[in-house]
Amino acid sequence: MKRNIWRRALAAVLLLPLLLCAGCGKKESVTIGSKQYTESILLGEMYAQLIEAKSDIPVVRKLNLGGTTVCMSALKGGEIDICPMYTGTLYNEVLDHALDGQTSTEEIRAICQKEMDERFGITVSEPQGQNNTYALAIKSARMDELQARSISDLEEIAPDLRFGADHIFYTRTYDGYDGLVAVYGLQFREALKMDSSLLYEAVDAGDLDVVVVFSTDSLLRKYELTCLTDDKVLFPPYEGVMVCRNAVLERYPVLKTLLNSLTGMLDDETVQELNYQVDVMQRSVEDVAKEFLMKNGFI
Amino acid sequence: MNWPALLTAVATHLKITLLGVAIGAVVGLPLAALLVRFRRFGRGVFSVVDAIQTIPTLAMMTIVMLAFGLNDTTVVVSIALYSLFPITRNTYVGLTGIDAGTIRAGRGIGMTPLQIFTGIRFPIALPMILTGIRLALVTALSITTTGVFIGAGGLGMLIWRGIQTRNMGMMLSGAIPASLLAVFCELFIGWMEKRLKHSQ
Repeated sequence: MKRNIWRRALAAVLLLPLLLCAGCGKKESVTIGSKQYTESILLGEMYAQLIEAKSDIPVVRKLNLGGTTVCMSALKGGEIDICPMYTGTLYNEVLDHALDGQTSTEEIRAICQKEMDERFGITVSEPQGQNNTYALAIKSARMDELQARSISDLEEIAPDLRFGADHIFYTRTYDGYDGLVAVYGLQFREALKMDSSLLYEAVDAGDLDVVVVFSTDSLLRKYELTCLTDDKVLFPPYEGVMVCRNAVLERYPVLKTLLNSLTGMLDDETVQELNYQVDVMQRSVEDVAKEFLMKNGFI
Repeated sequence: MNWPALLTAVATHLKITLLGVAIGAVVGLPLAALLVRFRRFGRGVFSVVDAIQTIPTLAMMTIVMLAFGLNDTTVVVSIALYSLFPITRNTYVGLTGIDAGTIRAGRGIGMTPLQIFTGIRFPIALPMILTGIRLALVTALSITTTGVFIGAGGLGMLIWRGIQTRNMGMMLSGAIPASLLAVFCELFIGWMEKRLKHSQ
């Protein structure tokens, strides 16, 4: 009982500034957030430059925020207005639906758009084109030798192949290693667990034949790996989308069109290349974003 | 290397850290002194202070962010909250862990409770108090690097982006100043401790 009182006191102390600050958030600008990795920062920067070029709205950048939880709290609290996201993340982590492989890409997107709007007052854009999900990759140079274009092609040769993935992949219920065995019937000679940064080195050195990667990772380009088509659709869709608070869209209607201006402009290879320019070529995010927008006639 | 940007980052890093610990001390020291006087509140207050300490950094900043926004202030407030534990705990233990005979001797020569506090308790507790502040400071320096995840300034951005893009130079340009700051803070408090000892 005593503890309970203190907990309430703590909550009151923490909430007090919140009440004091409520209503002091009206500002004449739009704030763009992003998560803490290159791809998200790049997409955030692109939209920032787009809005700066196509409108008079002052843009504030809050890029590199610590993950979905921070971004969603910041969006709900009005600390940021626009943020790059992925449909799979919204569907699974934010809206709390299970990614069980039973729902199609289009259905997942539609559910995200509908429920994000209803529950949080947040608009989800049309997909930009890239799908940042799990993928199986092999050395591009060995494509002909292995005769593999899709994951199904591995079925017969799998007993001769060594497979590697990070620890998390083995713990996922539907879209992890168990799913790979169940859906594709793959039985590899060896299935190893290692940190994702080591996977690339290992497949490059020929110690592994097939590795699990993220489909837009810049290292796929650096180590010249090719992703196999997920022909039986095991991996859930993580389509890149932009989310925006409805309140901001009402205040700045021009954002409604700008939010969808990158629709269909990206694909996995393009994003790999953009990430590669930043991660491996060590170019600045601003330059790479600007170059992309200029090349595609946006600015 | 971009020296002006690096210096700004170091200055911001130090500012956030010192401000946070200072606020923590301004709240924590009197709190501990009051708890010595009103001991029955000790358990309650410390259970809150302990509970704050167990909140993971990013979760704490996400909560504080809702009130103070995505900026340095959120990190300062988080550090102040985290500093309460080492500062209040150490001060309290320092102030109460004094040999009862010494206090009685003070009372015996006619010292008032206030004189006992300023003349006996506080000077004897001082090394413990400084240790608490030192602990808070060094912890705070590392909390400040996490501030990058809620849009605050400091050295965190260099360290994190350096790790992300496998840019060793960038990572070290953040990590080395951060550890140097920790060493300097240690040395500074050590020096202060020594001076205070001499002046007594």
